[in-house]
Amino acid sequence: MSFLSKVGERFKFDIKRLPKSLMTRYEKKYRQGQPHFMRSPFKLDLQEDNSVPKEFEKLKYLIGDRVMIIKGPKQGNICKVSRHVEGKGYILDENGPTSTVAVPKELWQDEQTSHVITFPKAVHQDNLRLIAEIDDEKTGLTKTVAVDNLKFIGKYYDEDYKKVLKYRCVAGQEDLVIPYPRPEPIEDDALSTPVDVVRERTHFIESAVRNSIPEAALLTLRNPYSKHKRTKLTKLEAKKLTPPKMPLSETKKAYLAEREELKKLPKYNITDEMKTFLGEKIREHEKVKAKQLEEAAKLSTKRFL
Amino acid sequence: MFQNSKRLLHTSRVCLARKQAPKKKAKFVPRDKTSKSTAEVPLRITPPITPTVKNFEVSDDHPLWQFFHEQSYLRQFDELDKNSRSWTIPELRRKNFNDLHSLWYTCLKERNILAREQHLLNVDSERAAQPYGDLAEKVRETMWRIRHVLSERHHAHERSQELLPEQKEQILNEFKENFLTATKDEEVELQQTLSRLQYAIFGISEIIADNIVDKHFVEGLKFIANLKLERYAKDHPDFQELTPITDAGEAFVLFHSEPTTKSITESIESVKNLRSNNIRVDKLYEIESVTEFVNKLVDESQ
Repeated sequence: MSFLSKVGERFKFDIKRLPKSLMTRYEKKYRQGQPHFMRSPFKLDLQEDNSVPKEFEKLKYLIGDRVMIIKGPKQGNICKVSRHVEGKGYILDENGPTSTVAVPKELWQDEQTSHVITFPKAVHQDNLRLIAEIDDEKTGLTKTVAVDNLKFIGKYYDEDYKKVLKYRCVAGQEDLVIPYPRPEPIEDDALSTPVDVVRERTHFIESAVRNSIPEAALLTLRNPYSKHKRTKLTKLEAKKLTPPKMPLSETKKAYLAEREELKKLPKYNITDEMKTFLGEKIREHEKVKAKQLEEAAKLSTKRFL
Repeated sequence: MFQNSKRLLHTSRVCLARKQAPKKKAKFVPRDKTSKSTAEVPLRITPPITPTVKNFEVSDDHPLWQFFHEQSYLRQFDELDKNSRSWTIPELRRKNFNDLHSLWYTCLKERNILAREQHLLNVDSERAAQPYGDLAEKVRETMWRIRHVLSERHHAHERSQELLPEQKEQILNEFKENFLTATKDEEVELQQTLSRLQYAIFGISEIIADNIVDKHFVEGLKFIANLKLERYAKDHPDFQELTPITDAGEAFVLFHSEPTTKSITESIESVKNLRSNNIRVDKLYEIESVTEFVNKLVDESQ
């Protein structure tokens, strides 16, 4: 039963190992093999490991977020994100854009009764804005607003997602944190082990002489005469495992301190005042330049005369 | 006549020529009849046996049931585990050998079930068998991680064998100093520390039957015998004469005695008896002799 063994796995066709020069050709063939309505409107990210990128900067909206469409026929509609697709695409609920297509009978799904069905169309991340509810301090009411851009800063552990996430803030006003939608709780399945059983510690090293593994089991673990078993580390491994020499030199310390200070400096956005000030300066410069040009022109005309 | 004869050269044919008269065959004697033929018995018409699964009786504890999930032929896609993930390496590092061993076999059984189901569906379409394969892959991941954790432990143990001789003397000296200077109030705690040390450095377990006698064990016996002698019988008149204990037999007597002055004094008497009778354990046969002593103790306790 070849499917049990993973030995020949590396000889299989794998899109991730395809050279870049062959990618366009493969993509074309891939698209040709799909019916029109099933084709993704976005460029395929076939060389990525997952269809959903892991970085939160790339994945601005999570499943369950309320978003507003700002472009296209469904402009202004508020929808919920239901799924991610490749290339920063989002599938929305029934308020989102759809396409009506004819499906051949071979591709009919369960409970389908007609050839014509409506398919949700994916919307690009740039054409969406996040909807958030913000308490207005002046009036004391909650306002529903669309956030123009988001910024991801800091780190915290989210108990529901079971992941370290970044705080999602409004760009330009970092004190406004928009919480992520709560994911649906994952229930224990048939093969799950209770948390307390998993976390219980049963292994303790008590003896330096007695091995915790019975001798009869050792041969089934690893081949003791394996050619891959190395006794010496390579130069690179040794370098990685050796901590840097301490203390740091004075120059290095000064350099690091300077970098830290530079990081602390606030980053200013250009205000209208600044813009007018800069504009005035440019006008003044232009006037001076113009004068200089006039004088130069006069001189040249005199010479010519 | 020529049809039956073999085709051979006239020279080689001579070699095959029969020289002895053939043995006479025994006369054929027909056997007594044990059963009657169908022709002799009047024919009876019975209802035909229909070939159904119900005609087979399989006991619930048949070993092949281990290849089935709750005795069902094929699980539906919805019945499969979808939310679980593989065990991570840090999680497995917390578990002892027995736990990992049983987890390994739980995984193996589950993979057998999944492989059977996958094989059934693979005949129809590979796509239908895919979820079963994906789940089996998760289980397989746990299995290689178990092997990884165990080999990690084994490598650490091998490394500790290299480092132990360097640090052993220092550890033992430190312990000896604490052991000899401890007050009587700390006695209970002291014995607990000693039992931990003897298992850690020499592999001597408190449970006698669990012990394996080797060079570490014998070395430990001698160390602990000297230690006990120095703590509980320093004022004994024969202390100078007895120390250091180098004989494995004498060491065993002292090691086995209770950690009290009275018990140690009794042991000293038996050690002196051994010396006066010139009973010593040969250095070459220390391990064998101590194994005998330990086995005797185990038999006595049983």
